[in-house]
Amino acid sequence: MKAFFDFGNEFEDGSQTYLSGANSMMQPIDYDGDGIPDAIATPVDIDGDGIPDGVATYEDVNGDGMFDSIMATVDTNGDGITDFTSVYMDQNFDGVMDYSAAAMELDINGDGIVDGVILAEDADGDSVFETTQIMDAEEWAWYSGYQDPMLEPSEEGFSAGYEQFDPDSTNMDQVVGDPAGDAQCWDYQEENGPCAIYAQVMAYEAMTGQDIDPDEMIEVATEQGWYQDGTAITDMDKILNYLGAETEFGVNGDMEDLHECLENGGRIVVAVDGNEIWEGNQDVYAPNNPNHAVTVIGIDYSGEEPMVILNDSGTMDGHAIMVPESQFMDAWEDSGYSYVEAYA
Amino acid sequence: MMPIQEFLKGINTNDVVRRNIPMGRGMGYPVLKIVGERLLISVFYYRSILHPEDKTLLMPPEYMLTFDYPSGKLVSFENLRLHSQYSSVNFDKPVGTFRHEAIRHLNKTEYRDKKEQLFAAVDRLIAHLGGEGEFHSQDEKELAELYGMMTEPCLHPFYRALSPQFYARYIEKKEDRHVSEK
Repeated sequence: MKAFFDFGNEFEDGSQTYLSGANSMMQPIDYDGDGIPDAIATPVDIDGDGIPDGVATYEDVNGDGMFDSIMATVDTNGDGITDFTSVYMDQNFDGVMDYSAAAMELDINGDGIVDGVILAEDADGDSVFETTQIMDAEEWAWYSGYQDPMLEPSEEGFSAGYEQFDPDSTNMDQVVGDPAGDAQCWDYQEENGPCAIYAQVMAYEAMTGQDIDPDEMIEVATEQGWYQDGTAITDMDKILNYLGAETEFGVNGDMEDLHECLENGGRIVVAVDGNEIWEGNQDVYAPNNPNHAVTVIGIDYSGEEPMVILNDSGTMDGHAIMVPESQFMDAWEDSGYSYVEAYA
Repeated sequence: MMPIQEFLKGINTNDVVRRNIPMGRGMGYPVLKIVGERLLISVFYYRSILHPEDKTLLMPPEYMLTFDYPSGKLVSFENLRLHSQYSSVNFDKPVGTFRHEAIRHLNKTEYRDKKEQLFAAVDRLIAHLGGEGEFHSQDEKELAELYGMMTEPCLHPFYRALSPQFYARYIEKKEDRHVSEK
């Protein structure tokens, strides 16, 4: 795809010029309010009808007097809403634009409402887009760091297709823990990162019956340095301690450790490779890393293979899910079988 | 000789990582450095936000760690969020998506096989550096091809930061080098 701008002697696409004559309409922008312009905005006429349909913003990011970021936002269909954005950047500030991207809003599900973005990127500055991808509202928000209010969000979260523990279809004499009761304490985390906070909250609620606000605990953990878009494995006990639970951190744990803790009225927070237990992510080419924390709330020995029962905040169907012991151990192995025993 | 995968598994589950790196950060491919008489292995950790259909988002690496091989002793630990060199990096904005073009044609088995090939080639290089085996020009070429194929282009600047020499020799594509030399 050709560049959309003509920047005089510096940037030419050889065929199209959208900014000619715009110099007299340039508007300085002072982001930091220090009286010194940080950027310049100018109207663009992308369809060449003589009527501006967008704005190009030139920014000197590093303050060396040279523009190193240029962004154009355009209303392509004349409905008064910006639906196309193009960006050029000089990331290493050597005077040559080495990154460009173009994003266009689109209606993915065809219901007439804009609900996604198609993004094309040229990461090496050769003016050829190497990647093109379509993202829904949630993905675009993650990618861009911007929650576009014009995009209709997806209403469904991720479901892994777990089988849930059912006390009526098992021999309860063969079950350790109180998975049916603990399932009531399950909560969906809705965003990436705070799984260990949720796992601790679910464990504490299950032991005490108290209702704890996970968001409040995320704030506490963030303030204390226990959480930064994720939790270090050795910090998986901090919120439990903050709430007043007694904990014991361990590595190289095994099923016997889990059984004893549950039998003694405790709960266990374990670090696992979530991809190995999320059936819905079988097609993901993921490395073996501990990337998730879940609460162990029971073990069901009634079948041929024991089932480890988890409250998993990472999926919408994660309450009292049954994971075969072998599958659970594979997932747990990636953290070196790290775990936190908690007691009220 | 300790296989590189075993060494990396030991890193992933050691106390430094457990204590300092939030869960959800994955390890990149290892980069080798020779300092004096010691062989060092450097890795970075980065977050990926899983989405199916090749839309997994890759975030900028946040931690760079270097370990002595084969002892596994920590040599250096850097939190890039607190490093002035990376002050312009927005760690909350993805730098790219998985899978990249060079591996998009691989199915899951083929992808794992390529990873195994890469680690096997690294093992041969480590053995050679330790005086335990040969590492011919064909091995050199294979290792460069595998690194060039498997590493995410959007993460290349961070691989370069781990070791400019290793990056130039095994990861940087020849055409990229030609352009940068201009």
